[in-house]
Amino acid sequence: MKEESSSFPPALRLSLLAIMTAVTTVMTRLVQFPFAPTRGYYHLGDAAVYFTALSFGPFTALIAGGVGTALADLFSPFAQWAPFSLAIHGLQGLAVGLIAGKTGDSRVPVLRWILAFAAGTILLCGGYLAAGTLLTGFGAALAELPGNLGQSVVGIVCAVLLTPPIRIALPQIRSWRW
Amino acid sequence: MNRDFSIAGGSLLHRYDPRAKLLVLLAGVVFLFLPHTVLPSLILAACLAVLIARCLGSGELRRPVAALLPIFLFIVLLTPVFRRGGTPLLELGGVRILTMEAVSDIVTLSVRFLCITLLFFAVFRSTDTDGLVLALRAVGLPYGAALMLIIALRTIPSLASAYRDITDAHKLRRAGIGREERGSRAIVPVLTSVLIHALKGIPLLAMALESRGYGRRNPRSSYAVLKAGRPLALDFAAAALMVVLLALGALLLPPVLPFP
Repeated sequence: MKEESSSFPPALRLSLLAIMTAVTTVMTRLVQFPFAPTRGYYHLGDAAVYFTALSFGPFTALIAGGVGTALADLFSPFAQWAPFSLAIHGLQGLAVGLIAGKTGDSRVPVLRWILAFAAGTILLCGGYLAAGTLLTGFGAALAELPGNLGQSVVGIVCAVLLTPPIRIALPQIRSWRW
Repeated sequence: MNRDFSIAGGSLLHRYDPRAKLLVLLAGVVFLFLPHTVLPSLILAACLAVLIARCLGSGELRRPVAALLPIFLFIVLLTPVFRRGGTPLLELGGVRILTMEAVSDIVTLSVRFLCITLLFFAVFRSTDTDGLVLALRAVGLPYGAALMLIIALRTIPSLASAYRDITDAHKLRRAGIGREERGSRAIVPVLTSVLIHALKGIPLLAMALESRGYGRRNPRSSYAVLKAGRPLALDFAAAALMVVLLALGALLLPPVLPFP
């Protein structure tokens, strides 16, 4: 199969979206990162969204990030958050993908990545604050803000650590951006 | 983690058409955000609780309720902090601790959130993934998006299994060299392996889709179909009746609490 940057067959695009959606769902529901101070856990759904945005571009992250996290909510007792996760994480992936842009082989555009992650974090925290205010009131939504901020930071660290080795192991994925 | 977020069964809720369930879900959410007294929402919550207990089991009803308890605690403790206006109920040293409007907000928010949670839980725990995707197709979801959803849902169990196997393999490797790692040092190697495993399957999946004619323009048939005819009409009539009852309840039932 040809994997040229100038052609992206529909079947390959669909496969990429489906697999990254599944990866996002599994990383949200199953993969937990321990947080020692409270003996709690963070999930790595945001890491999946950020990784998808950096590696495969804004539109893959929009769809895989939004649908993947919404499916994870449907698998949990919190199905009511699914529509909000679809919108918030989708926009988060879109923003990070658009701002971070395409990365060259030899360097990481540090400033663009910082701006991209800042935008993603603001969208995540602001989005869930608005959604929480609608569902549970401003006070309860505000109480979730530190957790969401920590969630995004953990996701950023994991995505930054994951992206380079995977690009080295699978160089063909560089042409799978859209 | 299996590919279905629903529980298998043959109850009334399971047999109810998924398209009608989506209509009821939308109508219920719209109703809950319209201004009305708390009594119709309480009745709706009670009906949903009974429906879930009868059709899915009382053990399943405990799951969403238990998950909501911390959120209810936040609502009760933090709503009065941001709602200090109105008739004071509790004051300390001239500072309003609790007002009538704060109590009204606590009750409204709690009941509404409970209803929304039970509504979503009842719909999605009783609808299998094929039915859900077909229902979304019926309301306009494109074929490609539906196919993407189905493939993602069928990939999840094998990916979850691969994650567990890779995690165990890494633990054995670290135990073999006598090194205990935590945090990102433990997780990043596992995730790298899982992601490579997942990404390597993409070209093969794409070839399989192309060999089955994905991307061609000729019309497609469907293996799975939802119900049609009289059974479907009955389900939609029940949905319409529920919308009418909710509207009548909002308009006619009096307030039973000392606030709206």
